Amino acid sequence: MKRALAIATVFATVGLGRDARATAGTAFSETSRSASLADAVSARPGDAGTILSNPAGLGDLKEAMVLFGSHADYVAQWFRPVGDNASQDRRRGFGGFSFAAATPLPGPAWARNIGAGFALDLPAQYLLHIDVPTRIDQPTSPIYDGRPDRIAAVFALGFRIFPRIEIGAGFALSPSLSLPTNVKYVAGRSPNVNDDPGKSPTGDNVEVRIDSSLDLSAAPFFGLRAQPFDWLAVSLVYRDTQASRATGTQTTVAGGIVASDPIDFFEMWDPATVVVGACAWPTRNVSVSLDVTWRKWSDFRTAFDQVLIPPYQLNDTVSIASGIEARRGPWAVRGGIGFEPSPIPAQTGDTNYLGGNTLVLALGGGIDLRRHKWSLPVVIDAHVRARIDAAESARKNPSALSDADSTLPGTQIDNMGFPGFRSQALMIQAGLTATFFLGGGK
Amino acid sequence: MRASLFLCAIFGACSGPPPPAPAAVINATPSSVCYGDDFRTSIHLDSRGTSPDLTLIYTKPDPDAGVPTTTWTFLGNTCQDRTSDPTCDIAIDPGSVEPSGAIDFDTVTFTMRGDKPVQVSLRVQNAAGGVTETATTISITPLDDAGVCPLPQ
Repeated sequence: MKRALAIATVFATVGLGRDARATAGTAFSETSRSASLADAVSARPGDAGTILSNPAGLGDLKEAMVLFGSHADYVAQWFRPVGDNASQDRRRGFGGFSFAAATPLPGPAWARNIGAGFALDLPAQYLLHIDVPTRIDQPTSPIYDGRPDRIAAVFALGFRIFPRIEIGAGFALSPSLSLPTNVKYVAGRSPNVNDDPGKSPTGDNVEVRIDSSLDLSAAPFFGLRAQPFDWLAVSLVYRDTQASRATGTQTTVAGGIVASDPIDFFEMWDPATVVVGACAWPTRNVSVSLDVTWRKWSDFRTAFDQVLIPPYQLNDTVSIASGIEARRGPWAVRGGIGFEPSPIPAQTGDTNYLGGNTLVLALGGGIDLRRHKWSLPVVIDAHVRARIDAAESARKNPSALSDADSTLPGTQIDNMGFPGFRSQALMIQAGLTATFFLGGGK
Repeated sequence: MRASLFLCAIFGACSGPPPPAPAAVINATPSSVCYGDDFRTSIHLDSRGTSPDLTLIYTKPDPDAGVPTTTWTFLGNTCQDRTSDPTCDIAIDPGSVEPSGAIDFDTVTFTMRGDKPVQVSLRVQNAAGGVTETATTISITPLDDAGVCPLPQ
């Protein structure tokens, strides 16, 4: 009882929260177990669904497992310039699927202390969607806009180097797009500049050369998990920045006119992250976990791959999350709560980034059919989660805004957020995960 | 107009080729009003440079290509009679509005309160079903230190 009280006091004192961590890297695509614990899972024993949360947990594997997950999401976000009656509605729905597999290596005893894992996130709508606004002042949410829209994969190894210490490492793959395009108008080659139905679909006098490719960039991540006592485990995780780029040259040649614009689009999926976690078991069937996460949002760049300079550079954040799990027989109930400070600084200049401090609330449960009378090597988990953003309010500094038309006298302000704006977001998610144990459920 | 890049590599082609896109052109005169204009400056929007085909070099539209349809939208509180709507920020000239309320003429005239920029979008659809959207912003020019509008009157 004393131990339970001490643990409860520690967790209540430190606080609660952390940002969404995916099965393989796509935002909001965690397993139901992780999501319902508010992602405070880095110090918990690992499985196929926590490869990216902490690869060291792969050293905990007793048998091979595969899991399939799915989630449906709805984001309600509005943006309202000061004085407008109506808000610009930025709501969107999305979803995704996850697959993960992990296994201890076969062979001698030392090899069975090594676990290998692979995870794949597949958005329901896009494999990769990079939506780049043509204006830097277009209202954009670095948290919700693009992060769920990419395919992601991770590979990792975990090793139990001592009975109570595990380490792990892996790399996450992010796609990048290379798309050099050459459009050439050959004057006089055809009397008609436009399409000529029945002939070439691009017309006789326009050559379009596209040489696109999808490249993969790897971001490493490392983890450590130690369990000094039966009732306490701690963790330390580092993940490198995950980002995608769309690059290439776009050359248009029309007669003597040559326009060559470099394409350099940038989408940051997740900044570099350091996680310090702890997990405690006050009783045999109850566990409480806490993750504190530092995120290097200051590396964030605009969609045009431009560095943001202070005071408009995004702020690094420290978020906290906590989860509790209680088991009774085959059943488990889970709850999680987290707080994520907004990385968005006061939007007094050209950019209009959206995002407020976020409260994360999660609830979930599961049934372990290995402990059920059916005795099947399957675990089914489900969750619901809400991300409640505080309202963001901004007022522009006219002297900090760019001149929209230097040919006119004075300064022309065409910023979409002028003279100020308010914005808020709410995200609701529901998900389901099925885990199958291939060793029969040890 | 937004640049969107879509990739559908694993599941093959996402759809057939899209219909040929029209060219959408907005000419705004003037392109800026002074802060606190208070509906004094009449702003004229003209989409007659629009073409049913998107071309690198302007050519006279094919007379058989049909006339592209245009639809204007304004971000903000719009009205036709600002005296009856104190929250109105953008007063559209009643002659620019269809009886149904649609704003789909080639040209549109409006005035604005002048406390913030006004973003105008133009959606053009040709007979083949191709759609192009473009937008322009009527900017705000702060008064100079003497409190005078620096724009040519």
